[in-house]
Amino acid sequence: MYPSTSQPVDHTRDLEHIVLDVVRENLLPDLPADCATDADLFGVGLDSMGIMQMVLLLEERFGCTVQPADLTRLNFSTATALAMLIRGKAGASDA
Amino acid sequence: MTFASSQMQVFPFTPSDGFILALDGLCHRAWGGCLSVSTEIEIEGEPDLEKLRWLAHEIPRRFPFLGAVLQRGVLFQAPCWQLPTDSPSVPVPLEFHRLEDVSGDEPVVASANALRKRLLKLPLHKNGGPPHLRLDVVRHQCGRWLLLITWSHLLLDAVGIELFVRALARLWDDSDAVVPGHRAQYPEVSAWQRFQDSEAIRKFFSHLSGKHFPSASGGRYVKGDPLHLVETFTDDESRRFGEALKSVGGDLMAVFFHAVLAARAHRALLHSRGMKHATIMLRVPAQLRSKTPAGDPVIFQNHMTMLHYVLENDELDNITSACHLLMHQNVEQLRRKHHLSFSAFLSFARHIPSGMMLRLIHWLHRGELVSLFHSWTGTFAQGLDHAFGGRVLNGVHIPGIPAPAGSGIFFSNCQGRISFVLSWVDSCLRADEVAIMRKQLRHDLLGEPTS
Repeated sequence: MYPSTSQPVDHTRDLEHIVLDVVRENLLPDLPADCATDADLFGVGLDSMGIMQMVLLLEERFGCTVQPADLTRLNFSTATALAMLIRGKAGASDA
Repeated sequence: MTFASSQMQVFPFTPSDGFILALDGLCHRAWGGCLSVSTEIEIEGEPDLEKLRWLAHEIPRRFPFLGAVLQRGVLFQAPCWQLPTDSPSVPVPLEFHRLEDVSGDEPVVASANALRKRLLKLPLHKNGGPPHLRLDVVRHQCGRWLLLITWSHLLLDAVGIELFVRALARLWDDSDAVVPGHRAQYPEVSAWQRFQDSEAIRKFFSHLSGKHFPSASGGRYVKGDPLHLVETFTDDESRRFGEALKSVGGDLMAVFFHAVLAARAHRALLHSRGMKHATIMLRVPAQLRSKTPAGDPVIFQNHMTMLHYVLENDELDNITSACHLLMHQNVEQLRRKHHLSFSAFLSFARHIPSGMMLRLIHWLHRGELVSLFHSWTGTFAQGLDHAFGGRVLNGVHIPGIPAPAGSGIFFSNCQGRISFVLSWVDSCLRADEVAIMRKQLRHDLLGEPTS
């Protein structure tokens, strides 16, 4: 469901926490280990550059192609919202 | 040559500082000033003059980096900032003004526009040293006033000045407030490593050298004054603007939307000059902002890299498809790590004297740096609703820009209202050409006719 082109995805964890791990590894290294999945990512430093890097990560790590209509502040605001976006894209491609 | 001494703190140039210094030199050549920006904040109420004077005294004490002096070094030695540890704390310049129809004792200015024009021409750093910024207060109508902070781009960028404004607002409310530290140090890597890391962007430049992307100045170094046009839309106009953005994609498409609008306005200029098939190239700043050891974003730091957007004439016919194309270009550049490669390139280029750097660009791109300068700075000091004793009504950055390129278009919003700034060097655009660009912008933003 969530193919990876670089590092394998740990399927023992839920998608929200996997997304948080990806954000921490690639964009926000200072993100606390106990960061909640509904924490505001913009509030902890996600900026316009980070958003576009996230677009690329969604494609490379989760096989999820972000369309211009998906590029909303709401979709990128939390790990929960990003996970929903990924699930929605996976559901659309499965249908 | 040794920079450091026991009485000096030394801060190396950031990668983009060298490029900014070259642009600063172009401004000096054009009008004798520097690459400066006037940040204008409109505030409700009446200004507290005594407290503003206090603030002007407090700023250099709280932000000692404003005492930094540019040290250019010898040939192929990267410049740096020297910060004397024992320099006297001199207040930043502060002047009060009023418009003619507002009563008071301050000197009269004909208009805020006339004052901005004068401020943008001022040399803000003498021999590379302070003051680097100044404050001007204009009472322009009953119950409203303007705070203009005019600053040198050598020390700050738009994100930095908004952090600075927030820090000043905190100081205004609480004289004991802690303000962020002035600057982070940057890790240095070898010149050879930087050269290797810049390979991807050098290949891109090589590809770009086959294209002609004419600017308003036509690639010429020219003399002339910095002029500007500022328009802030009404709430209704801004709502219509929001509708136009929705037709393109999500709200985060704004960065591409504004870039396309700027490119289309420039295309209208080129068409009026008979250039119907020119390529348009934009360099859009991308933040790689550092943090102080305390975790605060650094104030005194220029943006660290840029992304390049290239649009052919026909690709600009449709706004939506042009925005989607820019999004694709952005993702591809990140995939190829152009942002890191360009930063490495700039870091390497710091060692090249400004004049030589400009001659190299001149040779590569027929004199052009970029088609026009452009940035979208987003919401002005987001969340700052009250500052300096009153409600913040508007905030906008008005840059003076060098030639080449000779013109620039900048967007921002404040309290939900969109502003655009068209800046140019007076010898690069005629009045009718400014009108053409303005009409195209208003057409694209609001659906107004272009003729």
